[in-house]
Amino acid sequence: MTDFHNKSPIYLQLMAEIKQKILAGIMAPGEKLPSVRDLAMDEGVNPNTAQKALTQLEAEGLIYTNRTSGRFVTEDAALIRTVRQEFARNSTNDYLDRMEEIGYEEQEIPDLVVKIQKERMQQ
Amino acid sequence: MLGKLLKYEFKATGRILLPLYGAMVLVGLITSFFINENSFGASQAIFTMMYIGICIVSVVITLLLVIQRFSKNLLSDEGYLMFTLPVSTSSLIISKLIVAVCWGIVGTIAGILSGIALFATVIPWSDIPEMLQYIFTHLGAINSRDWLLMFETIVGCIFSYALFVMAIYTSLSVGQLPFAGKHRKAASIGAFFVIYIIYTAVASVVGVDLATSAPGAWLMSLSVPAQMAIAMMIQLVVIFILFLLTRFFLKKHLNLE
Amino acid sequence: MTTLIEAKNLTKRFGNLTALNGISFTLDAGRIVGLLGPNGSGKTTLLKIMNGLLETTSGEILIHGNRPGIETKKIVSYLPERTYLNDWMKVKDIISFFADFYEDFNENKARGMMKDMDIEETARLKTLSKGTKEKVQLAMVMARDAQVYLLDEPIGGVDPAARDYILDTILKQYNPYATVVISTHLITDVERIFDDLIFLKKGEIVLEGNVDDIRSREGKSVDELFREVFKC
Repeated sequence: MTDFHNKSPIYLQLMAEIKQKILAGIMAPGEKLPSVRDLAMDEGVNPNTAQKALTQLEAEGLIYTNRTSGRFVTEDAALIRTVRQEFARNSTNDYLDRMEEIGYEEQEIPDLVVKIQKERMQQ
Repeated sequence: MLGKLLKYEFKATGRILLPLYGAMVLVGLITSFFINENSFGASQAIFTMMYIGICIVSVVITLLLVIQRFSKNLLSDEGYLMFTLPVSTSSLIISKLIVAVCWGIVGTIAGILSGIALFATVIPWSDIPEMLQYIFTHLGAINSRDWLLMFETIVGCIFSYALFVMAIYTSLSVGQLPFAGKHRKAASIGAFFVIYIIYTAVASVVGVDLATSAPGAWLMSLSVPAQMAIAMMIQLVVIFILFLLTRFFLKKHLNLE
Repeated sequence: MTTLIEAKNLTKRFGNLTALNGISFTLDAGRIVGLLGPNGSGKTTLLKIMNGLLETTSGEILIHGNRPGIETKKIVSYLPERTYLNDWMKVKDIISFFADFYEDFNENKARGMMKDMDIEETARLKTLSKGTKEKVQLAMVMARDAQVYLLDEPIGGVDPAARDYILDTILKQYNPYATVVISTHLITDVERIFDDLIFLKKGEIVLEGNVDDIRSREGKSVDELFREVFKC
């Protein structure tokens, strides 16, 4: 069961979690998603909340519904790539904004990133 | 639904009263082995006291059970269950009344049996078949009027008991009303006395009125069985009034804590 | 979405005290609703009116189109805050009792829950601890295939592990034709399963709506919002 916090809409948090799994490839294109009920039970949330999360993801095209067999991750690899890039772009912009707030110069950033990556690999 | 309520009510009460009445008969039987000698010593005294004791206990417990089945099962925590069952308030009241009266009858019979059991050792058992035969052949000698009187007397007793039980129920339902607050018991006892005071007051007023009026003369001219029948019908009316009162309090003014 | 419960100008007075002051609301089927408020807010009064234990002073409440009575009692499953089971019965007697009076009672489900919770069917209720009795009660209430579940402090007196089990049971029980109303103080543990909520203060509705909408609007959890709204 994911540790959702109660301060923001739970369906958004649930959406983010599923989206992340799809973008990272943890959930493969074409993979079947759990039913609304199972999802609700596993995550300990209201089935209507689970339903809303899935409906939103469908509106964004990341999942689709086959009336008879359930919900599946989209097989549109191009779409997943696009969304992933969009997500990466937004995250990077957020990061750059924050670094700018504390006074880092733009040219310092790439070196900083490489340095931290090396440290992480050594862990 | 009434049937189901009756089933559970009998179960809840039977588990206490059946063993109790059984014990009453048994103690009577055992006591008879001790008391029917010509001496009267310690063991006779003990057993006599035991017998009287269990008879009193039977009466007291029967009465307490009537009260408890209503106050505990309907008016305290269990009431949250009983009053959310898909049954009418009437069924709840009637089921308890029927069971209470049934046990009154059974208890009385048990009491009589235990009284007979007390003389078990001196009853000429071998003569019983002959005695029974004598009784049966002479049953015809009892005329229908006497049968009627016997029947009415028994039914009259049953109605009186039913009225008594119903009055208890009404009193208890008054006692749980908001005005009583924490003094439920006192309010119930008070209500019980008020009910009987009103009942006897009205009865005597009506009695005096009747005695001095034309309808009264007509009543006096009726046969005794007919008079008894009328008295019993009045009892039924009172029981019905008490029932309506109880139902009103429980339906419209239920005050579970 | 069908409206299952509808209150119109519901007022309940006890002498001079007004417990509910002309409240109106509708609850749809398939929703899990949190009924929240401090002691004395009117929560318990509202629940009692919904299950027929109290009469309204004025206004009305309709459950599936009916006023509270025998018909609504058939489809409403109520879990009060206190233990209401007959002490002298055994667990299996209680199961038979519920099966006898409620057509929508699922005996197998009830038995299954007893097994899950390690409760012997032959145990006499009198011998069980308070917490265990509450679990038995909850099982009886949830084993009914009702249309309305009214739960008054369902996780109040139980340990955290049992709480999870109870919340899971409530979620498992969920079906789009039933409404679950939960009245509780322990908001943090429970708020993630609410669809909608109603805040009751001194007999009036001071807040109501979809929980996620409220979260995004206020940027707070329901628990935090509660503390704010009901600051002493």
